[in-house]
Amino acid sequence: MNPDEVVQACLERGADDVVCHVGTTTRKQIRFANNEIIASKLWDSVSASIFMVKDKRIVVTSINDLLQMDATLDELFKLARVLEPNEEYYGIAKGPFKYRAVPVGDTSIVEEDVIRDVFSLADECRAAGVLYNTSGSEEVATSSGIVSNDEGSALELSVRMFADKQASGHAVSCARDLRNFDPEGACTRAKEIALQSRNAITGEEGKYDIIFSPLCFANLLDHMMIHTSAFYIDSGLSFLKDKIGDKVASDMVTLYDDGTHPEGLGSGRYDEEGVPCQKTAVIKEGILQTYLHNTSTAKKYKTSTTANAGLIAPSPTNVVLEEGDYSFDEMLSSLKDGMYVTNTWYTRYQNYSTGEFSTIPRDGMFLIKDGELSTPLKGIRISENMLNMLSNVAAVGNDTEHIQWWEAETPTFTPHVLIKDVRITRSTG
Amino acid sequence: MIIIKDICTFALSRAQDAAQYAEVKTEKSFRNEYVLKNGKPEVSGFDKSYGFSVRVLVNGALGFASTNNLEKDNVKRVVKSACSMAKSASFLINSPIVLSEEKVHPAVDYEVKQKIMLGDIGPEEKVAMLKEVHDSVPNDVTLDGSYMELYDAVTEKLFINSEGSSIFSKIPHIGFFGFFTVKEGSDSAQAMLQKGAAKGWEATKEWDLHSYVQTELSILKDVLQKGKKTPTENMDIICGPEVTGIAAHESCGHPYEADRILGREAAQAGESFVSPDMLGTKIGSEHVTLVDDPTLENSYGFYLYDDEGVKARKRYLIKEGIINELLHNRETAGKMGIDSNGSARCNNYNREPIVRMANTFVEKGDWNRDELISETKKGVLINSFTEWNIDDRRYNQRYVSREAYYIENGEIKYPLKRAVLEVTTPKFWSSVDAVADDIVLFSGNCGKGEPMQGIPVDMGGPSIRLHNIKLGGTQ
Repeated sequence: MNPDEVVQACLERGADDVVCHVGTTTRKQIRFANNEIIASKLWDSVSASIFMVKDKRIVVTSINDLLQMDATLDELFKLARVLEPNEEYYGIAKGPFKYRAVPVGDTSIVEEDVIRDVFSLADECRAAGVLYNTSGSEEVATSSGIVSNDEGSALELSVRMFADKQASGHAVSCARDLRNFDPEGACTRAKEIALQSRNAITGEEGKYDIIFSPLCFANLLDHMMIHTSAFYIDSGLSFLKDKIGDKVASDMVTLYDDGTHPEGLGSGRYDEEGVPCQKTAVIKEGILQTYLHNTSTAKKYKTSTTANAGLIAPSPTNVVLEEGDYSFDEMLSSLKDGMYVTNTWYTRYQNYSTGEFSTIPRDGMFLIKDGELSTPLKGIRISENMLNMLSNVAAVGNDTEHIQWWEAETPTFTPHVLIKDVRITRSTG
Repeated sequence: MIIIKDICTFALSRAQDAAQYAEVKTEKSFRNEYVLKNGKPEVSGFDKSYGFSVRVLVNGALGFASTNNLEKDNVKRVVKSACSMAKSASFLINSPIVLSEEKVHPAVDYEVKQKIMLGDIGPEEKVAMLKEVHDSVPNDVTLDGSYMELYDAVTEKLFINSEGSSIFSKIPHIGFFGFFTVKEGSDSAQAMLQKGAAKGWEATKEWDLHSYVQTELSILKDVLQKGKKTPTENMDIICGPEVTGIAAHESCGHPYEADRILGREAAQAGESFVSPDMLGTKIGSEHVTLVDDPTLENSYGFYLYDDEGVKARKRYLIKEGIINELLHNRETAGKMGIDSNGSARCNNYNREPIVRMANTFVEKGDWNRDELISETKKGVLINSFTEWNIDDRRYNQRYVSREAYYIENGEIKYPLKRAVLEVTTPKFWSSVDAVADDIVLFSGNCGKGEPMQGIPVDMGGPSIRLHNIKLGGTQ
């Protein structure tokens, strides 16, 4: 069954709104650690997802046995019949639309050759990481006249180099196309940070002006951006609730969701309900412009969709922080005392609705003294508030990187960022 | 599962042509899910998934492939891919993987029986229960947003390997997740509440979700209304079972995973401050005995055979303060020349089995909770937490209180707002000077692996007292 047949079958059974996707993915992974391959994997899958609404009763399913479609639809309608309506549901987008294709790249590599190069670049370091080569295609059909299809491709290398047990550096290279894939650059950066990180000392508590690397800031942007989803706003899970039009960040912050970015791993022709992907300014010069919407949440908020369906929860495509005009060296030389943090993980909120959180830097982190990197650090934690962080952005770099990895799930384009007065805490014993 | 078993046997025989070791796993799962936002039905649905995977060792290298297209030609192709990828990788390994030798289990078939079948309860009843839980929130608690979900799932798995093991299991799971924001004037606080079990609908009766949610939200309101600033001088800290559990999971379970210790997870979940030569050394006070036990009946992390076909057993990670045992799968056990202790788990047929916890908890001591409090001159009781994290070597951890109280001269005086316990792992466990007998387990989802594999676990223990600790962090 193709998606259009599923939609027609649902309409014949009395559905009001239907969206169906059928996708095929082939993904190869090589994991490595201690300068050797630890596992090579292949995933080959076909799956379908259906969103169906009957009298405002919303039901969804995902299945990977397409031969059982009739029985699945029967179950879906049975479920819809006994549910209560969702009074805050306002429908799906009316098509058809014209789409702009996002080019599918050439990702033909010999994965083992890339890994061999990683090991050779590691030299005295110990390399660990993962390489993905992904290709996929999918078709979508909706009850509002949308029938389309899309393709995608991705090359992703995430590499962590260890100069010793507690001295490491991490970097990634992400691309839709071989031409923009730079495993050597990632290895070189990771190794350089690792070598500089040896003999780290435990950092001290206090407030610091901190330069965040693109890898590190991508994690924080990932955690910030989801707070612009209308679903999060409605659920009391956002520090940006009731702040449209407010100053939520420094003038230097202009933040986009951009599903049309030619290089973005999150780019595509359309969102989950078939609306053409677009570029949306979410924060412009510090002012919150909009939340991320699908058609239904947009109607509730009396605005237009931002093409970020998620049919239940709108979600970002690619996060793009607009470049500033500072080089990394200029940021560095502007600081008499400060810190440089190259990576972080385990970002957790104390309160989503106020933005209190903490995150733990990992890999290279350094004191800055008189405009230069000095002592490597360990054992520190950033314990802050997201709104404070956004408001205290003092410089945005001009060296954008494309980041996606285990700790930054949404593809993100960000340069180095300097934030003033960031609170650092550490263990008390 | 008969047709799928035929496919598995076929896949295994194809893999054995090229591999020194092969295992095939097939899985069929059916999951229902119901979501309420701000007490109103948002969406309901179900997922049906089935497929198979093959894992092989060729020339000492590991290959893994999965598909949900079970046509014979495709199965053949997928098996061939796993073998050829492993063969190519074998030129880029330092030493061949040697799996530990384990007992063969040729005909295991086990099932967790449900007293009230999940399938016998209609979706309307499940959604109605969630609504009632929401509607029972006390009137004097001001909710500023809520998200609740209930899920149930039944998973059938068949594992066969080239050594002759054949293990079939059928396990139900049911879980509740709620996220609530309580407002009090201009201040607010949040609670993430979770329950989980490997059992039927009867679990919901035992959980008594109504009073669980009511109690926790009333506590949030009280802490917001009456909570004071946390003192920061050195004091005795009593951790309630929820805090004991998260610390057991984060700073004992994870760093004792042998794959982290050997560097296999280095680029994702990280490594560990623990090294193999620390076995037999002291990490905690003599009051601390900490275990991981997958065989606890109906627990959220329950299993009897792991995802490599090894019989599960209770693991003593810390015995009376001494590092006693690590968590192993066959690969890490093989590397260290010992037997696996059955810690290999994967969350789906299409994921490789890696070293995981199941149900991690501190064993009970001979104090009772009231004694812990009455014998504390000056201290803080931290009953539950909101924000938490730990570094990727599992050395520096932080737990921010959801419910905490100041204790003076053996009495609870008043609630505290956001007490921050930020402390190293050796300091935490070596400071334990008293352990109560009030064990409670809490359910959660543990994340690890690449791609991420969230798996159900329990964590907990009794109330424990940490002597002479300084609370820190922002106030």
